[in-house]
Amino acid sequence: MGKRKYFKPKFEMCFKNGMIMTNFLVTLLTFMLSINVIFSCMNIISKHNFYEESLQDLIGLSQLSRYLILADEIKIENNCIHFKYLDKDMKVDVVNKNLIIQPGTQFVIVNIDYLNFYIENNLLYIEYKRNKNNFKMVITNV
Amino acid sequence: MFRKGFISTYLLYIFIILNSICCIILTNTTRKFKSLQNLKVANKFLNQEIIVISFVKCQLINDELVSGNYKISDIEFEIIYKKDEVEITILEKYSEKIILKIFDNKIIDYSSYTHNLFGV
Repeated sequence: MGKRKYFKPKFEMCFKNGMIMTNFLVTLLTFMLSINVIFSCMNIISKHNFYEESLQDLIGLSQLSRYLILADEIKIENNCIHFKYLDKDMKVDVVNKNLIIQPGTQFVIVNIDYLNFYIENNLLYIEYKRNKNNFKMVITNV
Repeated sequence: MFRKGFISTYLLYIFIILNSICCIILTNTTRKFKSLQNLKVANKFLNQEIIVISFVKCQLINDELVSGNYKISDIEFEIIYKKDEVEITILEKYSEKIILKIFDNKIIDYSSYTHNLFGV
């Protein structure tokens, strides 16, 4: 008899324990009640936990490039770029660890530890450091 | 945990939460890659715009800008020079139309039309 019980399919045994009637329904009910809270938490995680600063840098630098396409008299002085844009004197400078286009406060790159501009082979390069990571990019031609 | 029931209730609960987290990570990674793909295309457009606009700027300063077809740095483009406006059509894989507003032989503004190549 004992052997016969042992060879009974497990699937059948599961339903005999009454699991579907009690435990499962209670959990399902609890889950349905907490599903809103869980998914709103997930939504917050999805927005904040995976923010990519380097992606934002690329967007900011392409915006700076668009400025510099139309600019004249591009010069590098004291590690900031001076240029004339529509006959207005403008500059790109680091203020409180942020690279900003002035006049105004248009942020290009945020939270940088070190920054350097230089010209090589008629190309304007930017070199910056954030959290021990070095980045180097071409902004425009000069 | 696994002793009772066909699928343990706790296991189901944990499975759903883990599944949700995996879905979020996957969605974020997909979005990140889409952004990178779009940026790649945007940079390709920007690079050819830099070359073409530099050429037009130079021609305007020397007062030598004429309508016609040009090829510079392997970029083929057509220039139509109108009064106070230059219309450039780039005839490459990443084709686009650039309209430059001109005042006193200087470019004061530009807009580009990229034929809906974005939205990867």
